[in-house]
Amino acid sequence: MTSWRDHLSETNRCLYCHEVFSGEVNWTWALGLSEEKLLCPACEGKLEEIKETGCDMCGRPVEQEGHEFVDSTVKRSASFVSKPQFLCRDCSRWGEEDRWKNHSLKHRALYSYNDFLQEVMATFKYRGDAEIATLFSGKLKKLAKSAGRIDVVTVIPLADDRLWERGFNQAELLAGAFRVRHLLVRTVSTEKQSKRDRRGRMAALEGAFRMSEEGERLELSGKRVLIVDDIYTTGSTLRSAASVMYEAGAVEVLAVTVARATGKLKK
Amino acid sequence: MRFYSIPKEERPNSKMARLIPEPFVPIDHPHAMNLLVRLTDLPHNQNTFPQVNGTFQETDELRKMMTGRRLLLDEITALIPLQLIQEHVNQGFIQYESAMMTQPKLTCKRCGNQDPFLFGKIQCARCRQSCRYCRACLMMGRVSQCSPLLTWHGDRRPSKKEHILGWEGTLSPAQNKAAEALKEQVSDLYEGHQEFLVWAVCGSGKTEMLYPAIHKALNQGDPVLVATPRTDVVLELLPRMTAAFPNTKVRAYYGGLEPSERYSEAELVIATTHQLLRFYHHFSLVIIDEVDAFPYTYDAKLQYAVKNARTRASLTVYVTATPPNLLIRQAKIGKLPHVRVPRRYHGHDLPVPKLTWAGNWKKRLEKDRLPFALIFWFREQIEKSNQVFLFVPHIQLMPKVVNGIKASCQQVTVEAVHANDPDRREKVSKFREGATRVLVTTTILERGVTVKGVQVAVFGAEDRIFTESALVQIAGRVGRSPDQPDGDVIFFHHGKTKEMIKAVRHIKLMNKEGIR
Ligand SMILES: [Zn+2]
Ligand SMILES: [Zn+2]
Ligand SMILES: [Zn+2]
Ligand SMILES: [Zn+2]
Repeated sequence: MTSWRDHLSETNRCLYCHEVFSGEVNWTWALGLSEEKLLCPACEGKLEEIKETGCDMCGRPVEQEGHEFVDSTVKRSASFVSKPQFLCRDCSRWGEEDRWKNHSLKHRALYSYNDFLQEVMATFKYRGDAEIATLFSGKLKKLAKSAGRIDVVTVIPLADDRLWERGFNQAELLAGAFRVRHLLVRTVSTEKQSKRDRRGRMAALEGAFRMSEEGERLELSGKRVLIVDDIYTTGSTLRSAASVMYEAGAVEVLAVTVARATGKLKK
Repeated sequence: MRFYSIPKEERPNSKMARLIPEPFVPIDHPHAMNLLVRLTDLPHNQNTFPQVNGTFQETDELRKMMTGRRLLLDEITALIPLQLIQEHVNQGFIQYESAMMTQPKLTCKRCGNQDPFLFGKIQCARCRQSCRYCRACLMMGRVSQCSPLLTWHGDRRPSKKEHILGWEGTLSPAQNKAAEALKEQVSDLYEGHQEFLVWAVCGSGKTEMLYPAIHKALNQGDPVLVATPRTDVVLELLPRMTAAFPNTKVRAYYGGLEPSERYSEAELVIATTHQLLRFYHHFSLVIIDEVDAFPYTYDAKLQYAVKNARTRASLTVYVTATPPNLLIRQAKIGKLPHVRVPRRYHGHDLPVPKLTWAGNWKKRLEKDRLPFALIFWFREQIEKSNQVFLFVPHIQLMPKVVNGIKASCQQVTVEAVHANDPDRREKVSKFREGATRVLVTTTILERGVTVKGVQVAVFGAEDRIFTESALVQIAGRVGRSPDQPDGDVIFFHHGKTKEMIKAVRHIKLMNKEGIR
């Protein structure tokens, strides 16, 4: 643990690029009024915070032009809304499925999954620099505040071989600011997502999770559950997990992630 | 990975390795599962390994991959099953060691990192406890408290191969003198650790001077390493070395190679600092080719990597235009054998930099305007159809400087490029082709950028980043072609610095010595 004196010194080191930068750490930080700067201005500047969303449900960022699903004239709040009104085409499609007629999965992300964030997440997940999680864990907790009362916080579990390979579950570290319950376990190991089309992915995720022993013990009925994860791509993983919890009686399941991938990037 | 360290009384057959990786510990073993440990938590000297079993036929793939290297277990298991690796451990061909030291100071044994900021900690799914890892060398696979390093102990087969030197150019007298002195050193590679300095001016043709020594070492059966801090230099050296040594396995290692290329067998290796970290006690001839790199530091990282990569008895050669003070001092008191090449291969003097007052350029630049002195000089260059390298101290200044140039010389084509610029290659080659007139930059991009008739200016030369050696390297960009051996080097400044004056003195001294 570093002391407050270290934080007040003139220079900091960037958690991502390791470069020294002069931190604007001052009395506001010491009094807890501002956050400690972990990234240098250059790295910080490359993150695209989602300030307005194009869909009340999945929280996709509004800025991409020419995206068929998004009406760029509609700008929605970046925080959770209690009554989703405007839905993108993806989310409307989900809503047509029987099991999603009476349930929802509201999601918000901190940032757009741009090139820079892809690099950062690769360093975090694949290179295994677990410290990167501290960049986001506090912010995720803040983001979740607008969701209102949350009874249980959980994460998407990793398959055993993947967990061994990485040494840690990235989602669990991202949820570091919450008290995490392990509600789910994986039933089958799914193939790499990117290899399948939407339909194939959905089929593969059908029944990918079941309740864990801890989840069984914990009475979910009437509870609002928050899932913390790293990246939201199509939402199918999160929905697969959420449907297990709805079956167990959860009244609402919501999700926060670090990065919202959009069609534009995934092509 | 955790290991079961078998107690002596359980090992009547001493040929067995003391360490069994977790996956191979029998589930019904009475206490093994409770005794699993990480190598960092074991006293090092306890890990006895069997002698090499000469009758065992080792796997070719493993031998090629591991000879001369020290690799993380994960790097190997990505290509070869653990079962086969463990078999080689039991036959004495491979040994495990911890990748980190926790005492007296937390240290990454692979990269030498000891900086507390560059260590992380996780609740590890492998060793099921708090596990520290090195953040400094992550791009090579993660070193953690539970990740062992593996070394190869099979006998190295002496090579009787006859290597051909395919280079047919001629060396200038100065080059030849240096080449011979260096070759002489290679004769006794087996007497402890030795060092040699080749102090050669920018544009003296350093690479060619190295060929005779490399050739000799190869024919003695010694693997040779050319180490450099920069990928650019590796990529530039590879085709030249491959052409010079046509029947030698010349391999270049830099970031971004596929695993199949990363662990290939090699006789002559060209590698960046990080890739060097995979080699262990292997090279008898190590050439550190810093060549015109800037900002240059023979940094602690490279030093550590070189120390690990060379054999105990070996020769380390420093090739540089601007040796660090420590090397100069050692050379002067006769502790470091060296040779100087003060003359360029074309025989002409090095252009001497001129110092020009630019006033308070920072203030002018705020309004996107350049100092008058620089504008006048620019216009003169453009009239003569010259190309210009303009060095600036910081990347943040580049857009303003570009605006300033455009405002004062409308018709000129100007481009800005920095070290991590994704379009860097393109921009440099456009400049090389002459499509861009002015290139604004923060660092020397590629030493191969020998643009005929290029003129150089340093803008804000008083900045701390422009040390004597940086300025000497920058000046070395000019006059490299025998057709146009002269040109302008101007330091535009707002106050002379010692470094500027030392750089001018350095170049004048080299010119004077070159006459002798
Ligand atoms: Zn940074
Ligand atoms: Zn949506
Ligand atoms: Zn390291
Ligand atoms: Zn571990």
